[in-house]
Amino acid sequence: MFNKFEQKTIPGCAGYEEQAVTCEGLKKELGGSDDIVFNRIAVNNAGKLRITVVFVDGTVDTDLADNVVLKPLAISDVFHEARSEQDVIDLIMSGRIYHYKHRKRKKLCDCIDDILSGCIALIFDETQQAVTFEMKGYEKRAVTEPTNENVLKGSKESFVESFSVNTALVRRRLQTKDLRVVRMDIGERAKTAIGIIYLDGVANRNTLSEIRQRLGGIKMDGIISSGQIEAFLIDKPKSFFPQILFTERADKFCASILEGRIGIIIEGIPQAYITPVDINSFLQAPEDYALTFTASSVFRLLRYICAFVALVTPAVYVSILTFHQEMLPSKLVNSIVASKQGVPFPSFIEVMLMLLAFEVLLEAGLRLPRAIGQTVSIVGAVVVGQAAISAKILSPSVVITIAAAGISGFVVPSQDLSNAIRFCRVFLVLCSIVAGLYGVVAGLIAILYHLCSIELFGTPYMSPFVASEGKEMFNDTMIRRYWRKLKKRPGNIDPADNVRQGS
Amino acid sequence: MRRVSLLACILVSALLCGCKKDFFPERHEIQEIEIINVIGVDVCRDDPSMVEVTFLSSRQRESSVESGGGTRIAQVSTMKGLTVYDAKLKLRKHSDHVPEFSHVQYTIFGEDALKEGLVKFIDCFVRDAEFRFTTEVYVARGCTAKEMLQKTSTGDRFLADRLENLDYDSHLLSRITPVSLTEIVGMLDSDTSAAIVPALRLRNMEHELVYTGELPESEVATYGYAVLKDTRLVGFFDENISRGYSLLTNEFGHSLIVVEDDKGMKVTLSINDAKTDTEASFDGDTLNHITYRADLSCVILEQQSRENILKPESLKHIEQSLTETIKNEMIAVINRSKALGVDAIGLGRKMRLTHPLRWNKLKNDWSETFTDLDISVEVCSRVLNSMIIDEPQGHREGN
Repeated sequence: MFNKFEQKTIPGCAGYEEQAVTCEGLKKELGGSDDIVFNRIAVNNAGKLRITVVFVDGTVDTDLADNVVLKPLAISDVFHEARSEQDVIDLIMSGRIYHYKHRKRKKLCDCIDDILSGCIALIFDETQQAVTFEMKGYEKRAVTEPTNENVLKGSKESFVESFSVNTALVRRRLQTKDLRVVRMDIGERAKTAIGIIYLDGVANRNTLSEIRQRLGGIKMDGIISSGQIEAFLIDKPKSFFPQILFTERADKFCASILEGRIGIIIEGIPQAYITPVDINSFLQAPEDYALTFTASSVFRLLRYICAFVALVTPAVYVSILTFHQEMLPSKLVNSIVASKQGVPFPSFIEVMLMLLAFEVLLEAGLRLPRAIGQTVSIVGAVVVGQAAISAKILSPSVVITIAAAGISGFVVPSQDLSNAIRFCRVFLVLCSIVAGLYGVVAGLIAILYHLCSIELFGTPYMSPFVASEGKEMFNDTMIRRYWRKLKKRPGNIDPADNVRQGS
Repeated sequence: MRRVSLLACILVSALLCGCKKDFFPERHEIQEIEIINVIGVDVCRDDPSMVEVTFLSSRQRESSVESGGGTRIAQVSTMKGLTVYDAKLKLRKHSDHVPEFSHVQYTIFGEDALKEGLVKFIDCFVRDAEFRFTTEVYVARGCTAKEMLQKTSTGDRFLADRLENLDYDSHLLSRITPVSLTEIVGMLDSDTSAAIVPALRLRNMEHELVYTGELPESEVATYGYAVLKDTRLVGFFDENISRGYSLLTNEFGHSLIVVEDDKGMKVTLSINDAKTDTEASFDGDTLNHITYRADLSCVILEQQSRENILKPESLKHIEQSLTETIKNEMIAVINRSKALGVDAIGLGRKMRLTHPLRWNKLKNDWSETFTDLDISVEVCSRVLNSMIIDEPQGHREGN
């Protein structure tokens, strides 16, 4: 579907790249939008030399523009002596206006790009040139605490929507000359700034060039959400499983860069993206590296167990209650039978109903404002947990099972992986309905097969559990090793320099 | 897409291959099944060629939300059949629920059934994968298994619970050691030693415990061990000597015993640890003599006198009393075993393991050798401590 964009021409832009800069040209291209300001000002006292100031209202710091650009043009003696527009341009370019970033533009397209990215432009109609000054001054959100990845120990800074603020957050943590930020403007129309961030000499060069190539191949109108970039970067876009890690934490992002991974920051999105990653990356929390290795290893193991519990518990429940009652202790059978007396539905219908109710409640809680969301949770808990049991629509054991699976799923730090587990959980329940535990095992094998077939820029998704002959199996995966023993970077991403700490 | 199609083809082929109807396991909702907990096997009195199998199951009455659990109802069903499996199938045919045999915890054989031979009835339990190999096996002594199952369960009191408690007691009191189906099979396959099965008997509700709810007619109690020779019942070890059997077979766990101190007052001892060594004395390849050496250690749990019984002379008396009692129990088991003409104490098995070359010459006429064998017992008892009390309450020197 995206090939359509490659053949599409932008309406009204024929020869747009070659046009010279004029006010008329600008007005024509920008379509007379009311937020684009065109001001005619006089450069010297005689008022014979007039130029046009163009900027997008709300995107520039007007005080700065007044004081740094317009005021000198109006009152500085230097500009009184200018006799032509070329003189003014020469004076500006020779430094008569103090500004850190000004550029002379002859092409209309360059000038428009600058104006739209937060510059003010001085248009010289006679010479058909423009000088632009970068004066971004739009409102932006301050750096705040992360909302989704809170930790007790560790940094409280999260990424914001501003590209430059985000790159600065990274720079501040990684003060090395090897840090590279490669900016690409993606999108035929929106020109969204995307930064590829990596450590030169550490990140794998092949991976880097592949990422650049894939990003450069995007011919969409613009990048508004992260999923658009992700779809072009991953090899298996139809998979349920997340293949790019996102984080809102600057410290987690920097830690990944130091490991040799490659980061991507997108203008307007308060998260950064990390690739290549493996399945372990989605089960690790930033706090793992703040705690002692014993504590973090225990918590990590707990996360793996919880992920497995969240995945298989409903399916195993259906299997055992429908096919393999002999697996339960006799007393537990009696108590389950007692609780199911009067419930008209078979176990798998109960489980499917409960799973559906759980997902609906979850979705409702996410979409509603926070205050109402809590009400929905309470109503849901009362209705599903109490009324449904009293009315003999569901049995208590189903509620316990689905609640256990649901809560275990919340232990997984990555929401994307948690979502994948939710989908797979339903798939496994369907398998269990057909063939009990045989079906569950067959379903698990199918999921495992799929996971083993995913690769991200040459990194197997299930590595280091597969494809490394067992090496690094316990390096920084299910258990976090003692810091002094973590001497090498993850080998599965094949970093250019794999030594993390010297001996 | 190709892979998915391939997977779908395999699945459809598996489902429609027609090889077997039951390609996938049989589906039953859990509330449709009837959990059978105990099975009793008897010879049919009307027609001795038939088998009478009694099934004890529990059903659940509907629970209230507040209470969480339901009320259990004990249900006893008896089916006659040509074989045990036949009776089992008949139960399935006549029951309004699907009987689930995988939860059978206990199998009780009637005395008459065992006299006919255990092999005749046990094969079904071993062959049918639905039964658990951990099922414990008992013998109903003095009654049929059917009577035992019918008289010992009501809605509130359930035979399986009582037997479960006996399991626990067995470790505490060493009166009987439960035997699983696998162990029985191992004993029956052994050509050297007899099979030993714990025995149960019916007892009237003679104790004064106060229960709420409906009481059963009788309750079960342990009654020593049944001794099987060539798979047939030949006799019993009574309960008063069953501890001796545990010591001789080195399966002793823990036991309480009451002896008298030097003043004739009673002292309760807890035997916490016991180990029995067997020493064989040969003359060439001829087995002359067997010595069992039991080493016991115990603690004082209770005394009735006000004396300080931790004094060396008192302790010595207590230890001697304990030694004598235990020794008598062990000798009684050996004598009873000899009287039954069967190695019920597993001596042959022990000889095979400890003296394998000599055993080859002994094994052919082991029954006769065992019956004529000179077996002596030595017991060494030690009182280790008296819990946290050195002197009893109200102790006065000289009292």
